[in-house]
Amino acid sequence: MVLDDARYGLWPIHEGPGLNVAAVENALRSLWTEHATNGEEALLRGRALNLIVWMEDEAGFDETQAALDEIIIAHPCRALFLLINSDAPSRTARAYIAARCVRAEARSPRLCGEQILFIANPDLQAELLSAVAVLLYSDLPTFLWWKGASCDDEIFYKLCELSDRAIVDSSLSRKLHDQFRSLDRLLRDKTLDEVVLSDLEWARINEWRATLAESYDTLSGRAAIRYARTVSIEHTPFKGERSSPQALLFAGWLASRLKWRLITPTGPSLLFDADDRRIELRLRQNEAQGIEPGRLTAVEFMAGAEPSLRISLSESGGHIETRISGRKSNHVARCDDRSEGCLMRRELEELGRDHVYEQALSSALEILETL
Amino acid sequence: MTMSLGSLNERPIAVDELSDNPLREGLKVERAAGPCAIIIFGASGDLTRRKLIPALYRLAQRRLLSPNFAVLGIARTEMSDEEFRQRMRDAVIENEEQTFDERTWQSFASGLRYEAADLSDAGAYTRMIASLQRLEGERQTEGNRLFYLATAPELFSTIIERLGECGLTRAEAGRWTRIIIEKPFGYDLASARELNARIARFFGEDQIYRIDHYLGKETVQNLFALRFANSIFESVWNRNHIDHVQITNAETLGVEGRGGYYERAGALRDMIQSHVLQVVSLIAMEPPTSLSGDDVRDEKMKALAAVRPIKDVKESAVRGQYGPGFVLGERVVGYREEPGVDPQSTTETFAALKLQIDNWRWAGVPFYVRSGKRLPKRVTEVAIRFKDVPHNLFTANGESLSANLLIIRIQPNEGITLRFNVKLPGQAMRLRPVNMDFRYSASFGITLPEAYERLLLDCMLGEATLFARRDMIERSWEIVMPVLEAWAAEKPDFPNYAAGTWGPQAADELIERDGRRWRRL
Repeated sequence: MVLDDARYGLWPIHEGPGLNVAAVENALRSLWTEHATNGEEALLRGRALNLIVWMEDEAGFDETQAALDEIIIAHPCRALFLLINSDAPSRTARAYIAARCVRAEARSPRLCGEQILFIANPDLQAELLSAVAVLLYSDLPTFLWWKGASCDDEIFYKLCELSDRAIVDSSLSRKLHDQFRSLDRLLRDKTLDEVVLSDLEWARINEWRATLAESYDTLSGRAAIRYARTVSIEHTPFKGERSSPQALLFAGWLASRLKWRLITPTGPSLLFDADDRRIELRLRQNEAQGIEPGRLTAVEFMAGAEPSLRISLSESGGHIETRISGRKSNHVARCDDRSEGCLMRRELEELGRDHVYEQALSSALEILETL
Repeated sequence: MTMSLGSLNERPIAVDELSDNPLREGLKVERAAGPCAIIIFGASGDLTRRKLIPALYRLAQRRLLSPNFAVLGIARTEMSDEEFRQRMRDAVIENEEQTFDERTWQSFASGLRYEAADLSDAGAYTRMIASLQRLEGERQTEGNRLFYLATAPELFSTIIERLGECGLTRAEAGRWTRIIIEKPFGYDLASARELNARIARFFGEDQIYRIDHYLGKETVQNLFALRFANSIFESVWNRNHIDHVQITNAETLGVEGRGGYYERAGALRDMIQSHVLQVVSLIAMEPPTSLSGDDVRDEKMKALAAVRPIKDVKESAVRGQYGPGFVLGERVVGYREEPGVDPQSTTETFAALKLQIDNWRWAGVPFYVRSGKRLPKRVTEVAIRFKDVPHNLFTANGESLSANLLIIRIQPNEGITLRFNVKLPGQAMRLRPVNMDFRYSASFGITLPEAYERLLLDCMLGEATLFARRDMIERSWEIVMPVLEAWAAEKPDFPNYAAGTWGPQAADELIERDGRRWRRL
């Protein structure tokens, strides 16, 4: 990777064998003195948490940089970017630092966090781990943003141990079944210190869950959900898989919250046992163009032939619309900002375990294994 | 009310089953309100336009309102539904220029209706009921109602009585009816008691939400977190460690066209009886057993009950009225020259009190409170001044030690500052006080939610912690009544402070008599 450090405002500290953590620490000490001397306006330096970002591909670097700026507005932090580059010469790395300053509103002062970037050959993983341990601020919450393709990875476990919470992104997974299985195993593994996990794909369906929960708060919506015989979940295609992480997590969430028990798969659909009835769950692909892969597009609850409750993505993709049989609901909810920065901002507000996610993941894995 | 899908022979769902929603568990959105209709009396007024509708819109945007939500605006001004919506849309855009979303607005606005009515006319309520029932049917609000009194206080009693006569104050089983009443809650103790008694004829105390928007402010709520989530503060929060407490509420503004209202109110009624005493109770209260409504309010009430009655008004209270002067670099007129103000007005625009709390925690710790208009800067803060060290070791260089201070800044620049002494670098042992700062804007960078947003949602959820209870209101009036009565009996020598200064000389004397000083802000 040839990094345009001027473009990103990065200050090169080291290039060559090893990581040279001492040089990074020295540069960090003088970083703020430089800013204080040269700065033309007041800066607020914030330090609310540590964020470790693991990347295996430079392709998403621009977006991740943009996300960091958005994160700093709400969570000024020290961000440690660990970018693995197989093209780098063996046992070598480059290191950069930067003060990242953002303005929440036009008139507000600039709020700054710090960024440290290591671009390293994969054979320096152990050194990276030791560097991370040194560079984390003590006693601050530490989050891991894992942008790797697999969670079944030794360094992922090690970084989890250094973190209070790990946020993965199943949309980056190479194989969905492997991804869900390793996450589920990690959560159940009693030999590890307690791991607190979340998934950006889970965060991406938050608005769908909120919309359905709103419907469940109304008499007609609750009746439609409670008496449904068929539930259909539509999503755009995802990497040639039969379903997508969002659709599976949504299905797993429904099943675990409403206490549906999976019976047996029947052809393209799945049968669940609820207290007083059987429910058929259909996971369907929507070939609509221009929507990101794997995104939910509609959820339908049917008691007869027609949907009694339908929640769907608007044509523009910017809103979620709710329709309840007999009455067209006027309810329209604006989709949340789906940028990585916005999703991460919300994820960094949480520290404890998300049991609802963990149960949804477990149910989703059960469904996936029967597909 | 029950409902099922017509084609199914399923057991109908009763309204009271709706409280349990497994799909809400773990959602990263705060608890949302269920279906309801909000009936706003005084819907053509400034409060509705500037605060209420923008707050409701923001709740809708944050998905905290039910899809089955409706607003019926009522006021004397003739206006169609469409005109009302357009006015409210303009108001929301004014407030939310950057985040306004047309489709969210359309969805929200479909639940807005307006009815022109003379609120003193009994017939108007019959028409209102018909409109309300129609709206409730259309929007399926499930019979839950929230009445909001955003009118002039003179109309409160009439509206409440009319609602009662029409049978609108009682909810059917499984539904709720609540009422929010804006301040001022009474003009004095007698009128507050009378108003409470009238309301109590028609509404139960659990239905009444007396709003004080100060309590909805994030920093005021943060007082709970500061005190009860940090062992280091609560362990020194008492007479053994605290010398005194100062609460300042300073405004640079004058009466801003509200001279007519302010003439009858004054600083003591407008700010101290309500907002400032609420803050006093939050600082002085004992830890509640939980954060639920009555547990918190019981403790606040106990703190107010322990406030020593003011006997010597001249020693414990100061009033002032601003004359012409300079504020923020601009020449401004005196209070008596403001529109709508009597040129011989005796209304105070500044008030300061020394309060004593007679309980084990606070005995001997005075609370100095002050509130005024046209002061040099806008600031609302609580300053906890700790006691001096018992023996000063640092006397060689003639050092006098600064006392530790904990400052809770309510507005602007919301945050918390702790002041302590450190050694100046060098051979000599010289000390300087430094500040350790927490600023919301530096740690979280985000815009704090508006108080009305929080309070409206809390009311819809039936959460009364941040609302004042009847006994608290009456106790607050009891505390200030001796001062009001003494001041009414004696003509003041007004104006007695220039706009742009920190109030009358007597306010400094009030605290200096005790060997203390107001903080220089």
